[in-house]
Amino acid sequence: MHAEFLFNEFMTATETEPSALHEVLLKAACKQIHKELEETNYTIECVRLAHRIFGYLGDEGLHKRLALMRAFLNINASKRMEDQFWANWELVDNLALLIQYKAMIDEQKRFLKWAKKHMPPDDWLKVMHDSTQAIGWVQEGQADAWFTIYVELIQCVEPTAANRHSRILYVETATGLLIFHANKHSEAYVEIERFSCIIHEDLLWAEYTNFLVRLMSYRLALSSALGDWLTYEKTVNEAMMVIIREINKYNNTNDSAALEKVCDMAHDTGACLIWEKRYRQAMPLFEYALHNQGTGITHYYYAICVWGRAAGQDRRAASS
Amino acid sequence: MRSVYGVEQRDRIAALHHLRLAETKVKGNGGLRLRYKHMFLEQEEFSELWEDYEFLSAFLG
Repeated sequence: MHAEFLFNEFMTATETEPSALHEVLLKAACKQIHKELEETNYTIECVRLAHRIFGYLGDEGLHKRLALMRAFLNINASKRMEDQFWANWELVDNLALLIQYKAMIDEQKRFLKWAKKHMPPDDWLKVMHDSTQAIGWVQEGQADAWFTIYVELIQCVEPTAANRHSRILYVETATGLLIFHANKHSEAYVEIERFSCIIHEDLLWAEYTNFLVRLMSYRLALSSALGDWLTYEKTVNEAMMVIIREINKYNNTNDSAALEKVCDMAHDTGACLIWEKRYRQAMPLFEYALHNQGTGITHYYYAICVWGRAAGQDRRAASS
Repeated sequence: MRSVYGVEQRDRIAALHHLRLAETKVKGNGGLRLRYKHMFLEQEEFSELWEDYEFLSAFLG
C-alpha cells in the first residue's frame, strides 16, 4: 500500500476517534514513505508527504524532518525556488523545535544569505519572522544580532499589502522578544504601535480582526509586565467584545473559515489569561474553541485550566 | 471524592482526558503531537504531577 493511503487512513481514523490504536497505521506510513523517497529520488510531492507524516511522530519525527530537508536540498535534481525556500525554512524551524539553537542560527544566517540572492525582498521577512526560531537567538545570547537584522529588513523592505502579513508576524515576534525575554518595555511599546499601524493600513483587510485580537494579546502581556491592571482589564474586555462580535457574525453566515478564525482568537486570548493564572476566565474561551475546532494545543491549555482551577491556583478567584 | 492533591476526582479525570486528547489528536497538531510530555514536565501548574504515573502514562512518547 502507498504511504499516502496509509497516512490518510491514520488521519481519518484518528479524527473520527483519537486513540493510540491507530499508531500502527502511522508507523506503517512512515516505513513506506522512506521506501518511496528512495524510489522517486526525493520528488517534492514525496518530500511534502514525508514532512506531514513525520510531524506526528514527536522528536523522532522532527529528526527525520531534518534529514529529509537536508537530503532534498542536496539532491542532484532540478528544484523550484519556492520548494527550496520551504525546505530551508523547515530545516531551520525543526532545529528550533529540537532546541538545537547553535545549528539553527548557522542555518538561518545561511538561509537569509541564500534568500537575498535568489528570492524577492518580501521573502526575506519570512526567513526571519518566526517567534520560535527567534527565541533560539536570545537563548544563545545573540538577541542583538537578531534585532540588527530585524531593523535592517523591516526598514529596507517596501511596505505593501502583499507583504503585510509577513511584516506583522515579524513585528509580533520582535514585540514578544522585548516583552517576554528582554524586559525592554518602552521598546516593546514602540513595536506594539508599529504593529497597530500595520494592521490599520486597511480596515477591510481579511485578516484585520484576527490580528487585532493578537495585537490585544501583546497589549495584555505588556500591561501585565508593567503591572498596569486597569489597562489589562480594559484590554481583556475589548478582546472579549471582538470575539463575541465575531461569534455572532459566524452564527449569521455559517462560514467555516470564519469559525476557524474565531476559534484561533478565543485560543489566543485564553492563553493570555493562563499566563495570569486566570483559569476560570479562560475556560469558556477554550471550551468554545474545543467545541468548534478542537486542536491538540487547545486541549493541552484546557487541561492546565482544569488542573490550575481545581488545585486552587486561580489568581483571580483567590483575590476576589 | 478528593485525591491526594485536594483535587476532585472529576477534575483529575478531566485533566487526564484533555492531556490524552492533546497527545493523540491530529487537527492542528503537526509538529507538536507526541511532544506534549516535554511541555507537561515544564508546566508549573502540573509540578505536583511530574511523578504521577497515571499522568505520565497519558503521553505516548
